[in-house]
Amino acid sequence: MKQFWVMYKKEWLEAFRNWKILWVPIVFMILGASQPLTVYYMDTILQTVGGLPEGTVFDIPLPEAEEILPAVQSQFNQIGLLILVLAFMGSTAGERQHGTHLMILSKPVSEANFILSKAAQAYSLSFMAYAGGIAAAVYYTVILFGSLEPVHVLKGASIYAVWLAFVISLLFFFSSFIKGYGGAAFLTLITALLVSLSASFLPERLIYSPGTLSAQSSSLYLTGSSSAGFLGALFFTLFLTAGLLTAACILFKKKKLA
Amino acid sequence: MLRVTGVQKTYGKTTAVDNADLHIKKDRCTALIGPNGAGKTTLLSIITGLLKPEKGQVTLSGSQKDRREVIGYLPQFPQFYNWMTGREYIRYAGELFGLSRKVADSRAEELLAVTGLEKSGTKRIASYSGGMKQRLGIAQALVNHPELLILDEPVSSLDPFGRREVIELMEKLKKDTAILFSTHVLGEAEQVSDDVYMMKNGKIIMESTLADLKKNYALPVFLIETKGEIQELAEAFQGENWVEAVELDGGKLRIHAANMTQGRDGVLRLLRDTNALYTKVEAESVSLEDIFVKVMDR
Repeated sequence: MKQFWVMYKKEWLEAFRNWKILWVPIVFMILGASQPLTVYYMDTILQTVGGLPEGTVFDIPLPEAEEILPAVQSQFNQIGLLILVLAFMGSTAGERQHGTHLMILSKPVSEANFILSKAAQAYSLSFMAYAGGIAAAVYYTVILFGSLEPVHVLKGASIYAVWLAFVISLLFFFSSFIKGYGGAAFLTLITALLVSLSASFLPERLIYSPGTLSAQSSSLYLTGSSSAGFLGALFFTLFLTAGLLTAACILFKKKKLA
Repeated sequence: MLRVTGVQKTYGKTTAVDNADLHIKKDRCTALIGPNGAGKTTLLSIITGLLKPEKGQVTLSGSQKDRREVIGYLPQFPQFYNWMTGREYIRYAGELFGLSRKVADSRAEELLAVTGLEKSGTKRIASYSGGMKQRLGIAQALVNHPELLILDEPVSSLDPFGRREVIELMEKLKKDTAILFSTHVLGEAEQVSDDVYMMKNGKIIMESTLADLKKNYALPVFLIETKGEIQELAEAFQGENWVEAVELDGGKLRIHAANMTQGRDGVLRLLRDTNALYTKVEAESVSLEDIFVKVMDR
């Protein structure tokens, strides 16, 4: 356990030295803030940019405050996921590609600690960035659109965080046996896309799929209540996440030198 | 202290290590010599525990659960976290062995001094030269006071100055710890090693102490330089019954004797009897390189 903390701290020091600790949260906060801002000022933006003939009456109804956060979330689901995958794809693949793991694993270091310390740091930083993004979104939403129900926001945001955790565990799973950066990142994004697409096309069939969590999260934002299969999907996703991490440790142990 | 028995490792169709036996003795410096691709790195990786052999065993005397606890390892191309400073890296290595931060830090300072990096300890590793990285690699391998230090090609990638630094460091270290190192730079191997293993195509084809090796492979060849008439001297030698061949080699005479004792006797006797104006007489010494070439050709 002590070794785990030593390695976890090392990962943070690295994130600090290569500015990851700054740029990942900043990107999320910009993403979070931009949604309420652009929606609110769409009118002004259109007028300033021009392109509308003189005298056009253009009345876009402002959405309700609750409707902003699901839109923010879809931003996170596209650009946010890409950012996280880019930020952490080199975490194990990079060590293997450069060979920095050789001097570490020739010491009495457990392979599980090697993978899990990296995954834990990736989770910590991702959740930090995600919380920052949500906070920025909520701040501008409340200022521009009116108040939100705090419990709904908290529930919706935490459920989506579980989906993020699942995607990060996919990344660690793939990079435990794929040497290149690109391969693992690509497979992670494709898998995440397939999981969420299949869940939205077959919502009745795949009621417990991790892909349903973002819809569940939206419904929590909007109404405060979830739809059918919520608990099942939540626990199944947590189970899959743990399973993927365990598999990552085992596969990495087998393939560490290759 | 460490015994390797019947270790085998294949990659696809090629057998990288084929039924290798090795015995590393305490307080000895053992060189593993072989051409590129002989399987040296694979064998060393198996001994450190980075790779698992398909067959065979590596056993280490002592009671530790994990042999990595008492081994220090420097890979062939040590790659560091370049964003760390040298001192941070050694401290991190120490903490991985379970040392407290404080102990690891003072150990780091000590090792930076041993390896002559005390001035560069606070610089990022990215700015280190090849020789400095090699020395830092040795420093991190020493952090746990290893009983066995395994160095994979510690000098091959260095310039002559770097080589000398590392060899001198190894000579210093071998007083306290057993060393196993691989190399194809034979001059240096000769300087520090006590025991020698030669490897070819995954097989250990020869094992010996360096002293025995030199004795067994010493050829009864004598070199003579003279101010006098070299042709006459050559003819005088050719008449002797213990001489097998005489070569004239640019002002030097090479006498191949039947054996060492007869040769020693005969050369001196003949030089005295003929009143030769010799300037130099020497029994040709055999280098590890000559032996290596011979063993590999076999």
